[in-house]
Amino acid sequence: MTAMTETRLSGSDLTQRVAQVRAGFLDTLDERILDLEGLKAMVIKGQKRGEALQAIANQAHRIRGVAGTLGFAALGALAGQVDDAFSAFCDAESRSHQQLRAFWKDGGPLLESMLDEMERLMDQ
Amino acid sequence: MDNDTDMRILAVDDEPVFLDILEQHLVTLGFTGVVYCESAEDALATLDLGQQEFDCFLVDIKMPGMDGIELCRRIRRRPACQSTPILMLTAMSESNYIDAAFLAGASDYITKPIKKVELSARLRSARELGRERSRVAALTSTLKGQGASQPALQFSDAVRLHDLEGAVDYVALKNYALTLGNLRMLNWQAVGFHVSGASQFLAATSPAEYLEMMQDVGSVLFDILKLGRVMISHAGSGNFVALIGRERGYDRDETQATANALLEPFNDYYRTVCPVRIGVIAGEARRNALLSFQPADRSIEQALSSALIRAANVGLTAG
Repeated sequence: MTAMTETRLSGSDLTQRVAQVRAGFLDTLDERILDLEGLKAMVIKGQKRGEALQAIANQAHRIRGVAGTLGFAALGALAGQVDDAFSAFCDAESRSHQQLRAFWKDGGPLLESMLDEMERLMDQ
Repeated sequence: MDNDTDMRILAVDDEPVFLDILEQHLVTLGFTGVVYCESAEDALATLDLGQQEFDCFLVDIKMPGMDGIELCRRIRRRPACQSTPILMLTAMSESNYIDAAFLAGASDYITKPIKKVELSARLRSARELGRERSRVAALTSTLKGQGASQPALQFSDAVRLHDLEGAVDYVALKNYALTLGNLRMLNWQAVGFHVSGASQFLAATSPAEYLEMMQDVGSVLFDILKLGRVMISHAGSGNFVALIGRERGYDRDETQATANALLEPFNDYYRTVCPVRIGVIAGEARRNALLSFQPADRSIEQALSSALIRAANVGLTAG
């Protein structure tokens, strides 16, 4: 829980604050990428696959909610696609091994595209 | 709370960057009384401390651990928060999440990524809603004998019926329709009901007895409609409106006849306090058109009009 906001920002403060939030988000990308790479490996190896898929959906959902506002429209759109696809698969009542393979055929490259975009932003 | 920006807000989201963005927007808009929490559990702990009351909640739907829908439900269980506007924040667009949020007590819905203009407009609406609800909540409390005195109940008041399953506030029901938009509202049909004798009943009895009677009528309507998806609201002025799944049929005359038959035992009691018989007049089902430039809540208003026109035709308007 953060403290209660106490002051109104001036114009210049606000610009500075926007830049700070944006930079702060970029700083989190390496950790998010590592997290997602680890989860991807779990899916491929079949380790706690359900939890890993759900965690990927959750991470994509969080990125989706902020990337667009911070000016990273392409990342926001890709995160939205990953969120929708992985959430729908996780919410399905039954998930057989065959269904997972079929899902991963499209879901894997989609996740990879999002990771590529995150790496591109980090390199900027 | 004299100004828009005097609202005390509790914002809950598991993404710290989102809370930073939200803070940026809120501070720019002049909102200073904001507490930020990174989990539902944290938010409940803040409420448990009881150090301050809130005028509005901003709640993310999808969070690890307890999600925003369950948090919404738990906030609503607190007597002090039953009438506080809850605005759900999410990137989710699936209607099942939206349905669940409104049924859990959400008042409105803001889509991420958030835009400052939209946030400002929704908070202004929430402030108005909060004021109206506070007044109406005082009325509703008389149902349970919590009110020290019985405040004046206006016949037009759209009172939230807390004990009624499937009930949502009238304003929330309209917000729900607007959130879905015309395309997804095609899955719903709106039906209005007019309660004949309601205004005479209020005039002859007390606000508490009137609210109990409306609760009875709402329960009867819900029991008839609950075979499929249903959301029901008391719309004020002796009217109810329900959204029912389009996949199920709706027979106006049968619904009306069943409702009145089920109300008959209640009328035995009502007659002891008011000579006018309480009855239900059902309107036609109204649906949104796919290619329409009308607002998505239009079918709700049309459904209410249909019930009122039918009531007027048989000379049974309530007031």
